Amino acid sequence: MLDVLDLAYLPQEESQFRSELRAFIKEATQGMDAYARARSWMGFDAGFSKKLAAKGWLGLTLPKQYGGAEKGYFSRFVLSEELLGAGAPVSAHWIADRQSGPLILRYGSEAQKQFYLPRICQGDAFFCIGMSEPNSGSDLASIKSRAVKNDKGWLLNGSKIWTTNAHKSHYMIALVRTSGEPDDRQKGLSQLIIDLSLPGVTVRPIVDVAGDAHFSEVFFTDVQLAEDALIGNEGDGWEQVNAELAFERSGPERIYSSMALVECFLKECRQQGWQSEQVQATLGGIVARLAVLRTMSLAITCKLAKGENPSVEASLVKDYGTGLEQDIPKLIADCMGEHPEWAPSVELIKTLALVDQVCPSYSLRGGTREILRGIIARGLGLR
Amino acid sequence: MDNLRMDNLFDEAVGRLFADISEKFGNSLNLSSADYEEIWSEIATSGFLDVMLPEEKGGAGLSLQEAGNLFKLEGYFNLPVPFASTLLARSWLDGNGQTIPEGSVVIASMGVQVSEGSGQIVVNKLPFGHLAANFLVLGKQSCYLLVREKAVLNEIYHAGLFASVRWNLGDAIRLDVSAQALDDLHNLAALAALVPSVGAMERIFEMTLEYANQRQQFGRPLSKFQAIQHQISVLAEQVWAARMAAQIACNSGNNRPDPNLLAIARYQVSFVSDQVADISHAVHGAIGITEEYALHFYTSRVREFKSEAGTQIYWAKKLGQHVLGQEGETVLSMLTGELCPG
Repeated sequence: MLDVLDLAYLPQEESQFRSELRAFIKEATQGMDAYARARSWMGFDAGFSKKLAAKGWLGLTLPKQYGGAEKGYFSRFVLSEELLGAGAPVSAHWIADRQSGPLILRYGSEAQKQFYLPRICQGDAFFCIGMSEPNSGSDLASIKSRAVKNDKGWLLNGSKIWTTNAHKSHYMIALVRTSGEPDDRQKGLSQLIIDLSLPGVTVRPIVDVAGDAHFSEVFFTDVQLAEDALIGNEGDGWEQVNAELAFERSGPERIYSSMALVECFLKECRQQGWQSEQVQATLGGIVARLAVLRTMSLAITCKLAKGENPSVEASLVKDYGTGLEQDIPKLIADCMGEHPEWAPSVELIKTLALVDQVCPSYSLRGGTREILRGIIARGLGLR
Repeated sequence: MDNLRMDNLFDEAVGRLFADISEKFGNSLNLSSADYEEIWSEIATSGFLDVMLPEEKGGAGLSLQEAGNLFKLEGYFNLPVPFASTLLARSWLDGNGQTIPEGSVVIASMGVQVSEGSGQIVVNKLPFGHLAANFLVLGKQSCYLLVREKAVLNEIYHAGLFASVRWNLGDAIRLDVSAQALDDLHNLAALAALVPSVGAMERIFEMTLEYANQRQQFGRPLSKFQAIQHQISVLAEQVWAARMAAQIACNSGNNRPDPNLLAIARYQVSFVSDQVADISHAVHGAIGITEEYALHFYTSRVREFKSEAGTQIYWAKKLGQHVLGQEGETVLSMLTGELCPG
């Protein structure tokens, strides 16, 4: 069911939290130029993550008994938007903080929670997510990596690909087959926590169009996992993964990916005195669409805070949001191209080129446009 | 009305009234004057025209935020009357110490030609110009109240929403109001155009969904084809964004929209208008462009009103100029500050 999204408001007390955050982020990222900020949540800096942890801002929504701050969804929205809006280098802890931590809290055993969650909150355990395989992209249920039960736990063989940060993470939460055959599709899949330092694990970074290596190929050859590597129930992997993806899609991540470029362009317009009607129209159009999307994203957060499950609405906002994120470099390039007499700075030129090149990934990661539109259509009862 | 939110008793009552009117007169905008008068008198006798007036003046004191859904109903039921505009105009007139005239009031801020030389006021694209009783038209730094009785009709455009009309300047009442009041009136014209459009979009979305589920080709409903599903998903995104924009535009505790929030909303609604109309027609096929089938009444309204009181570029420039001028503010600080509905 696709529900109506109503204008929601952040509770008053979040503005104090926002001020603290903004001051801290400004200080901690002062040496970063727009080109570095434009990596958004692909910018990796373990030192920055440790600093955030020291402030108590990792594991923000996790219970205090596991080292978290036990804050609500609105605080998480503010934290995410301040970090992403500034282009802070959050990649090291982002997945652990946003997806793996909440997943372990929801499905993990007490022992797993006590082991992993405090490490996540301290910035000592970085996670990656093993979903796609060489022949399983959008068709996730066709994965072939397999873990077989033995007397020591699980014996894992197979491979994963396009795994963000696999070469920089301590753990992977992987979706693998634990029973049945590929034809069984969603049945027989489970989630396992894999210590990436174990023998038999090989990680090979893949260089992307921008020259960065933020994702990897991971090979598992007779990797022996302990029995407690299983998270949640054996065979419930598909359901758990979908709950996790719904969480992934629900945040403001899908609005701010091109924000560093927008800020850089605005700064340059002011500095260089670019005030033409094209500049006004370009900036106004981008800001208007950002403002509407932000209220839509906040409305999703409000639904989460009320205990609802807005997974269809989150897919809608994500698909719409990535459209704007991808339009932004084109709109800015068009605007600059209307003024051959301008001399843009090196920083703006290379930031624009970077965002232009990497932006196709915005509508691939975490579910392609086609997958999301299928989810919306199902929510509308069309399939 | 599945997707229409009914937030208060007024929403429900006006929704019922409009549903009845819509059933009685069909969706057609090509009405006779007699039909128009009958529709208007039903609305006027309902008492809903005063909901935005203060309680001491017999109104309900509704703010924009509280009245926003009512404006949407005009478009959702495709009423051929300037309901939103009349509510807003009455509130503006009252707030600026002016007498409120009998009958409907259109606010027009576009293409108003005031010529001292020829002694005429001409508006070539005036909303409901052949039907409404009164018109508040904005010239350069001036505002006139004009009545239908004194108007000369040049042209009624085909869709029945707009007409070309002229008046003798001698028949115009020039209102003595502040510059701020003139700005406000221009903003209200934009508001009266955009919010009913969103209501029309909501109806377009429902019609498209219904049609896709019901129409069969290749032995199955259109809705079972992935290509159609994805188009409807995109349509949903646009309508959902437009609906949010309408709420943003109306996010005011009084009768004046915040100019920046209004610019955001006007841009967003115009931005999706053609796409919403295009997708709905694509899904409907040939039946959608027949006179008999109601879709075109709604899509005409959406397309015709998308540039009323300024196109998306016009409002983007206003907003962009403001953003550029806020030295020391970043996009993020503005999005989370003054551009955040609070």
